[in-house]
Amino acid sequence: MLCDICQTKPAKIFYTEIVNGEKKEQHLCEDCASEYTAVPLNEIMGGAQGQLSIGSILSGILSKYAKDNSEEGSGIQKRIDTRCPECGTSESEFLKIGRLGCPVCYNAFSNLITKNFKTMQGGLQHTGKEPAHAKFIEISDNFQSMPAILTPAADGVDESSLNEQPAKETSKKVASKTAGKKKAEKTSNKAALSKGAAKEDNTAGNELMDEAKLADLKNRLALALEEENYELAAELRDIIHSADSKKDAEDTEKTLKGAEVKSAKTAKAAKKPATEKEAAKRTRKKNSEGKD
Amino acid sequence: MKRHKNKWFYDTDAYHDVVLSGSVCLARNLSSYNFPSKLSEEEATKLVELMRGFTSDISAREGRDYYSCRVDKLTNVDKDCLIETHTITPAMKRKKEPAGLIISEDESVSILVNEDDHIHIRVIAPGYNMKKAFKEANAIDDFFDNELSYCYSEKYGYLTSKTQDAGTGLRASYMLSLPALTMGGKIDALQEEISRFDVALKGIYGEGSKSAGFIFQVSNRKTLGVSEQEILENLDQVTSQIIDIERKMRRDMIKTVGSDIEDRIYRSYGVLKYAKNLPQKDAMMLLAQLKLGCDCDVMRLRGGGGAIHRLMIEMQPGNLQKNYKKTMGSSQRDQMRAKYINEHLPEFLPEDELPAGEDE
Repeated sequence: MLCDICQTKPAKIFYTEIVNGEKKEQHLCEDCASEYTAVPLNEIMGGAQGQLSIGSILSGILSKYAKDNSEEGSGIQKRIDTRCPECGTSESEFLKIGRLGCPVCYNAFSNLITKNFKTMQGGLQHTGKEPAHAKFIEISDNFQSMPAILTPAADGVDESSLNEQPAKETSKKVASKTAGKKKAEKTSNKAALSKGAAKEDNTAGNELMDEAKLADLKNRLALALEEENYELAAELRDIIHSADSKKDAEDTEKTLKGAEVKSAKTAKAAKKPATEKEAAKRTRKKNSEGKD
Repeated sequence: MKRHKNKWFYDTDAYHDVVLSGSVCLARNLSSYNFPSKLSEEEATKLVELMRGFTSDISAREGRDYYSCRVDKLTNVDKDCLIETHTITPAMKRKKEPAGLIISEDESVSILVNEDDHIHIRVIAPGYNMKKAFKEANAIDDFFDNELSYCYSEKYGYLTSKTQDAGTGLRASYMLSLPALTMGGKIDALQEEISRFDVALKGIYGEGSKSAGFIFQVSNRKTLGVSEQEILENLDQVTSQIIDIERKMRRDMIKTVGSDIEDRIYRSYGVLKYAKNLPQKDAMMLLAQLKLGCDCDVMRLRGGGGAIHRLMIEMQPGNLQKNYKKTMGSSQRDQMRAKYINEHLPEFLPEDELPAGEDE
């Protein structure tokens, strides 16, 4: 068979084109095919999907970290997808494409990034060239200091609540206190946070705030678990439980407020033997729940 | 896109028998834009145009011509040419978002805009000369530092979109020709050995980690916690060890199986000179054997191994099609490649003439 276009050379390529359901078939020789069809064959064969890139390996490693984290957190963190407050990149997105969206992402995903640096890089501190006119971006050591950007993904919390002003402010406030602080200090920090949150409750009582508050509580619970501060975690869990079940009831807010102040006290005070026992019981219970 | 007569890989003075070229790439991001993956088309265009605006400043600074273009608007053939000379990555060819390129006339310095990061400053130097490449890249980096605002953290250094590049943002690499190590089956062992020194080795022009023309790339693996100087010194040290091993193996090979090797090299010359159909893989392998012959003084050709290296680049699909100014199907390309190599294969030097770096 000869080529449909030049009618001189033998046709080697059978080219089918379907435009708006209309099928067009052509028998072409290689020369005409390369001229009339813009189909770069090697790209189709060895294109984006065919390659095993460094990125895909990295994202594999990173998502393993994320999974480990959620296992430690006995199932609660599984529902939380961190999101960068600046550019909106979510943790799952970062894990998938292996690329960050903006400088603030270094703070938002600091847990994953620090772990990644420990294994892949030579250290955790830059020692090379310093620019003369750059914008210096502060990176805090632990993500705990930015609770506002945690979102419980599965809870259907409105995305807009993410960027709510009060939440952002708190994150900034705490971020400035930053890294390297001892555990005790961190705990008291958080106590202050809960207090602040409770105060906010007095002023803003609408439902949206409630949802944001709930999300915030859940985040604090996740953080408490990560720090193995089980007394606080148990308190928080109870608050969330009661808030969840009595969401519609009017007294929800009251309970929330009261309990929260209590939780703040618990966190602040030195470990009381009674609470400790109670917490241990709860932890055991929680663990068995986690196994299910 | 314009093409110019003098390119960095024509420089046969800097020719080195093992190291084909050294290159550095600095990754930088501006503080006023999101990283490329979160950049809208509008912002990306703004960024590309902003950077292209510096073209004449850079030309004036260095006293030589620079050109700029929109990579996403180039033809596939042009993009292939740039990939073959290691100016852009294959990933950039597929990218649809606005991306820019500022390139020096000899193509040794290129500034990529909006690839993985806002700015990639890449300098390539022929032969075994990383320091020169780094000095140039660093000077351009200083220039941009003065004009623009990078995002930087005291802790993690230059912030990049990929965490593998954070810190110095420096990726330094040497392109090596390792025929004796490959033929001796020592590449895997070498790969394992040098990974202990935080240096990665991978094959170029081949599928996966295999190499078609015995050409490999060594590069630094870490960018954070090590200074630029440490990265370059470490890479230089590892590379100089590889050079020693490769040279020793070449000598041993000539000593033990010299006549076999000589036969293979001269056969390769015959095929390259008279074959009428040369697929890229075959051509690369045959040229690599000629290069080995020149490097081991088994064969004396005008221009030596440098001229062969140049042919290796020019016979690849993009450059070949650019040269004949038309798009070709793969079988037509193989025929044109054979024609091109037949015509451009360097001739034998007469017995009494000393092998020198002159070319054409």
